[in-house]
Amino acid sequence: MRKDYDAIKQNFTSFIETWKTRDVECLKDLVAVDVHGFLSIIGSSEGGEQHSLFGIRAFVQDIPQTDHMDYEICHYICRVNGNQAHQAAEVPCIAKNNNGDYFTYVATFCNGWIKEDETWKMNEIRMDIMEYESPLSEYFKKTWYFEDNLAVLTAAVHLPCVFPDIDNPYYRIPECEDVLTEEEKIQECFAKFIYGIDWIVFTFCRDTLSDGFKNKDKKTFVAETKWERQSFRYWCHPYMFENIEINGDFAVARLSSMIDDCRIQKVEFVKEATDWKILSYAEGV
Amino acid sequence: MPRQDYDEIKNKFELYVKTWKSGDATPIDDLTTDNVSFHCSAAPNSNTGWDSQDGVKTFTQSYPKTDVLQIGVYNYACRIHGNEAQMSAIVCCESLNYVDGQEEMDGFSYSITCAVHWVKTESGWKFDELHMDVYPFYWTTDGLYKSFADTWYFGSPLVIDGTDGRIPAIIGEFDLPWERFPECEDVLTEEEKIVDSSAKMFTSADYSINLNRCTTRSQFLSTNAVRCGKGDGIRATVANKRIKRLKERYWSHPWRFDAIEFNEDKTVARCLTYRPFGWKQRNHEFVWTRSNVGIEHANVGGYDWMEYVKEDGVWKWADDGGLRLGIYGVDPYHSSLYGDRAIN
Repeated sequence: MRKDYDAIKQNFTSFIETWKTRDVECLKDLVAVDVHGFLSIIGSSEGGEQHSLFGIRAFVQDIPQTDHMDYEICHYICRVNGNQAHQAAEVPCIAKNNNGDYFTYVATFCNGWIKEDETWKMNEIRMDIMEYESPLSEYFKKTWYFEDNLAVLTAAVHLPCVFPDIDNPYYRIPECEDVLTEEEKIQECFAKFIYGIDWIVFTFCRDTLSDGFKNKDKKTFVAETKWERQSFRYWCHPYMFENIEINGDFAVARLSSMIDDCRIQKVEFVKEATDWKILSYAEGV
Repeated sequence: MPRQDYDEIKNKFELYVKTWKSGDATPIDDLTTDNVSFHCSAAPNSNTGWDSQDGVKTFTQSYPKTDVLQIGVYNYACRIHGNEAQMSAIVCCESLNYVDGQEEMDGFSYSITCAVHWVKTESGWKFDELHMDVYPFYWTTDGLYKSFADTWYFGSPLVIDGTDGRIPAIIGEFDLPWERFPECEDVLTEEEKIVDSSAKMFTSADYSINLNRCTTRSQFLSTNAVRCGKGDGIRATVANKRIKRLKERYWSHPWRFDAIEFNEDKTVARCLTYRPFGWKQRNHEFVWTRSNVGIEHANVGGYDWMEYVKEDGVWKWADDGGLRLGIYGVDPYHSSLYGDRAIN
């Protein structure tokens, strides 16, 4: 049902908004009491476990204090089936002080949702936070735990909280209700493509690129991107859609990067059978 | 008939691999299409350095010569889809030289992972795409290694040191049989289905197709098999290896099955692994001698038993006994490279 999709999106936004407002009272309407929480910034347990509504409340209360906090929700994917849903997103955030100091990070999520008494609540939260070296890094690291962003087996405390191949919405909800608008389907196609790159599920890139991909031979593109990606623990590519123009089975979108100095991208999409696919992208246009 | 097709491809792949040993490229005319595409990580200058039928012949003809070349095919898998088929295998090789007055031999051990696309033509099955990644394992003397490195390109073992612009020749998302043909003809025996499940698990691990590593594991994977990590069985057994895989250019997990015993309660497969690449075992090299030359499995690096269960019609790994490192097997060498004596 479309209203379920909307309710989950609203509730996820409200959850992130609590990071800004610190209004933890509303969390009881967003998070199940027995939620399983796995948060990469928790250094005290191997899996980043911080379960239960109480644990998630504590996480929000303990976010290091700054004068301002801004965020965007990018690459939102949500698949609903009956009373269950699974949702992913990349949330770039910036915490700022009045003196100009800041801390930039991207929180990536794979969350499970259930409908309880007509209210959608998260019953599984998997969150990995990737940091960008910033003036307030040291300040945040007094509270939040980070590991080196290199792909090594000998993780100091724990592995990423998201296991991308089995925590993504497509695996968890293989059959989902068709509730998206064409614009949202295009955005989801791009979100899946980015998820594939950022989480090394390159079958997603293979499946979201058109066979007629213009930038490069599709197979070579996938192989080279994977190779480049491979040395790192985390990658994030949060983009915001500025606009989408749809013309029959063809669409053009302009996106701006939330990091990398708001670089603009123009992405072309083509509808093949029932699915939108990426036809080309160009930077700086 | 699809089963005959399967057997024909398997036999022809063996014929192809045997040309490395003979250095005779004549059979390649009958095994490949004229326009065959050949991507090889060992090719000079770039993966496409030998990208033609002549290139396939060049690989065979210029295969570095040693007194002995021992070859075994591991992780063989083939999926037939109409008049096409996609096949993959890890071919483990040992190139050995006798040393005058010495019992011990000079040896170089490496694996060649192959992903091959076959088409049915009027003159039988031929391959029109050959992708090969050559991974050096270890060697006795630098001189022998160098004689290979003069002919074959190896590159740096860590991705982060890879400034040469070379990427693997096999692109798992496109070239592994389970990715290329998710739907295929049902021609395998039950034993072969277990071997296929294992090949899917290990070869997918080598190419970071992690979903295949999850879907070949039983959802009731025993805690015996969960020797590291935390959480449920699948998550725990794949999560850390997923990260560990990333930084390395080479991964190769050759397994073959020695015996499979079907039982109502549990099906147990005894399997052998060739020189587990990332394990400390490689620091404790196998010593090739004049007396162990030609003994198949003499150099197998460990054995394990794996328990398989059938879930929704698919064989999945449910438990194992823990890999025992060491020299196992030592069965008489025989003419088949597949070593599927117990499987037929």
